[in-house]
Amino acid sequence: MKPALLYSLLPLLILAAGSVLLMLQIAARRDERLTAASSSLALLLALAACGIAPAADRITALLCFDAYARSLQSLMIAAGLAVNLLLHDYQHRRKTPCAEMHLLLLLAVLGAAVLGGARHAAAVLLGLEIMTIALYGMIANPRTSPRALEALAKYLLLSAAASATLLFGMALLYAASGSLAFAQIAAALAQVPASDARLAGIGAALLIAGLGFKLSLVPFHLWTPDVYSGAPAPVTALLATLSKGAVAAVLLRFLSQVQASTSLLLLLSILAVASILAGNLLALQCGNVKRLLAYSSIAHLGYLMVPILLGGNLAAEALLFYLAAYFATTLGAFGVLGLLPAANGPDAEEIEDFRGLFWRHPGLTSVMTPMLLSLAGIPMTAGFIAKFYVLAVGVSWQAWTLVIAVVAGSAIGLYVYLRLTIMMFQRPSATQQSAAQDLPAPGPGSLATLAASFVLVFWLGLWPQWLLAWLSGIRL
Amino acid sequence: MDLGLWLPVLVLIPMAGGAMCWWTERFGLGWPRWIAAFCFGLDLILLLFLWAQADLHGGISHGEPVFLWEFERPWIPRFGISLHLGLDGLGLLLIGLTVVLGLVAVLCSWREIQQHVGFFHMNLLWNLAGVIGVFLALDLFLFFLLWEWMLVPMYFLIALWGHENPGGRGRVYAATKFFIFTQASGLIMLCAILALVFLHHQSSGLWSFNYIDLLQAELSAQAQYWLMLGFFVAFAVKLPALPFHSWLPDAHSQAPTAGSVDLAGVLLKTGAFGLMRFSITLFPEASAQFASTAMLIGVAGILYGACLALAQTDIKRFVAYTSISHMGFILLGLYAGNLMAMQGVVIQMLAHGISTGALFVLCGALYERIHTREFSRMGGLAKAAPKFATALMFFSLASLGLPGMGNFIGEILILFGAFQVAPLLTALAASGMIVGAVYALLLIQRSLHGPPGDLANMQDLVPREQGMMLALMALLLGMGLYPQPLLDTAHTTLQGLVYSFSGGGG
Repeated sequence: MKPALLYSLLPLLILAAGSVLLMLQIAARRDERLTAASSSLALLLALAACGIAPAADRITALLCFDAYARSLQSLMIAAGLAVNLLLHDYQHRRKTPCAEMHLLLLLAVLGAAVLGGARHAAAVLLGLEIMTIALYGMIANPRTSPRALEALAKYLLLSAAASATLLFGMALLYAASGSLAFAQIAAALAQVPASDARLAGIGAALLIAGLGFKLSLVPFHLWTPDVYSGAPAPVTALLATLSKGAVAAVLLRFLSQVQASTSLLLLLSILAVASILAGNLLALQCGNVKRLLAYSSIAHLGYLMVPILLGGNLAAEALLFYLAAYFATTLGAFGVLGLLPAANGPDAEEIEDFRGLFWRHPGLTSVMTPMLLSLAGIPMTAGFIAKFYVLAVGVSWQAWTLVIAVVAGSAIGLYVYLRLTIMMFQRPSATQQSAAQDLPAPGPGSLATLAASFVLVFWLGLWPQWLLAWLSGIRL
Repeated sequence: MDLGLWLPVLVLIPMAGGAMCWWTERFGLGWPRWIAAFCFGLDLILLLFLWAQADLHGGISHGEPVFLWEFERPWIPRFGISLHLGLDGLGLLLIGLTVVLGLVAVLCSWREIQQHVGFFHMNLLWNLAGVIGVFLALDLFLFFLLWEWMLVPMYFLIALWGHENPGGRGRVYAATKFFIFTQASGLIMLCAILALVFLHHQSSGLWSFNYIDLLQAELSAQAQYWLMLGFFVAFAVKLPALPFHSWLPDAHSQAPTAGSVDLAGVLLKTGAFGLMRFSITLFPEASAQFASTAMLIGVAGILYGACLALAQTDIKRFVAYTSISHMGFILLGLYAGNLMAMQGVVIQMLAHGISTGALFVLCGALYERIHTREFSRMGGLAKAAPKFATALMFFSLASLGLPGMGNFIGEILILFGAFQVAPLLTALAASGMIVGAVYALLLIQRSLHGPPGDLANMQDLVPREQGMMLALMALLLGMGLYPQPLLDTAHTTLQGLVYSFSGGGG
């Protein structure tokens, strides 16, 4: 490897070095506020590095830093920064300061960034495991909460099983093609005998099953609602954005290089349609907002599968825009969730907690409402342009089944988000009115994140050209 | 000075006014009301000014639509999307209707709405801003954006200030039903828009959502038919045409008065407008092919709405079903495809907007006073409230199509025009007018005459309501006695429409 190529690794290097330094810092002085500050600094530096690092199609056998990777890594690091700010405020309010959370967060971002630049199956595994193992620690915080521990147990067991499936799939692909780099797999598979092709097909299917678990595609979604509702709100935000986004991005890169067989595409289409419909339908009857957002994320990943499995010129662009919009929206929504006072439990998650919210906390509701409308894909919000992109890819491939699924899912989803939205505008019940507490003012970190989400959701919804111009050149 | 610059102002006045209403609520409940009224007044003045400046006898369009003024700025060049607005005669009339009914909506909620007044007026203004935008948009993306945008405030209007029907399914149910119907059909239209843009991209290599560009798109007959259906479904839901109408009675009966005025008077017209501007003009051959089906749907709607109106016991649901019937005439006239029927459609749209709007205001006034909408508890109101009774009588007669009022001109022109194309269907539609007379008289008889109900001591219309009613009566009479200026205003647009319907001069 040429030393010049190290510059292209700069974001990853900063994140890795930052993690080590942060660990040393915590060992020396266990101070949550200080750790939050230095981890934010590390993330900011890494974000800046994403901007200046030179592009490279191949840094090592494992990693690359092309335009796609650059945008993904910037996105992941920015999301990590937002969660970091939310996390600090969250812990501060609940008086459960835990400095290690910031360290784990940095590691999770590192894992996601590795996934963003992965061009080799080993890099996928590395990135995935760094990220997931860091998430284990974050989900189970605070350790005294039985719900968090239950969520951890579910996530840990199923995630380990998924990783094993993924590994097995990789092994089969290796057996069939003799390589683990995506490009070589593709080249080798083009000229293998039929028996090996079948082996490769099974391998790819297992690989997709493993990734499908992380993406919580139906039928691998069963863990999602439990883990979402058990974990603290900022960690749930991280799960919903970072871990899903990174895996989806890897899947697109893999599929764009390794030409999937028709049967595999059919399988993926079935997963996508099932996720869209099941996610929205399950959310219909859900009385818990965190679980509702979990189902919503299942549906949204289903929408996102449309460009991933169809591919083509617009796919990378569509995926990146979708992720940016979805990240801004989800971070805003979970940010508000983390700030609300709860009747019982650590987070406000019962749908009744939201009744009349607008008349009690107009500021927070004014942020939450556009987030929900954006999740529903209402025009003038980022979510609409994202859905527009998905439909555009679907229509350009004339994949009518998928298009119809997206439309039907959106129609059902509308009801889901409207139910919650209108709940916030209803008149508060008598007990709520008497018990209306004054909220402690949100910390500057939360405030900044919510403001950024709010602005981005409208900016991307009304004036998306700047981002589109940036993304439009990106091909895989 | 280029008057096209005023077009975005038409939309921005209510947008900004809405935000101000919300903000000024803290200073007192009068503020939002006066600001809302002021915004519509300002829009009306601007519109009258534009009307006075308009050169309505400009070149006759041959395939190319002609607009009085246009406004265009790049917006999302990545996909060839621009902020493209254009005003033609038809748009001018419909925006006029929107603004007048907006004013009526503000006035009729002066006493009805006492909770969250600022937020209410913000929703009202934003909703109508979206509607005005829909009448102006010449970029399909922008059009879709505004089309969906106007739904969200309407949803809030119904869901938050609506009536809870005792025993019924409630305002949130009605609002959600309305929203899902219109939004889901809107998404189908979005797919059709995208498909149209992609087909245009394939043939020309250009990304464009521009209406004028897309008129030139070369499409196979089959593609045209499917795309036309995609647009048609969205507009038919809004209109509403027969199989897609079930949201309307619920939404109307649960909505607050201003919401009903808005829905019946203006929102339904966006469906008809969409058919004229987009569905028929973009896909003329497919539309001509589809015309007989559409006319059949229209006639079915006329008869169905009229018959169901007869069976209603709730006065607002009654008016809602008559709306379905009247909208059937519009569908019939549109797809008859000749100038006379189209002229009838325009007059019918305006007259129906005013007469139904007025009827809903009266229903609202009634509900405010006697707290019921059931016919069985009314009766004898003519004695207790003569002014109210006169107004109700006038607008019921208008709605049955009494000569002298705008509705008569509209319906008769539609029937004359359609008779040349489809005599049998037109005969059926005309029989719908008979049922119309029966239901209008039934309304008058049930509520105004007969033995006084238990709630007959009713306060009569107050001066604010009297003024509103008189103004609407004057408009409706003017439309019925001298419709020529309206027909002149819309003439160029209609001629273009007829031209494209007849297969481009064939």
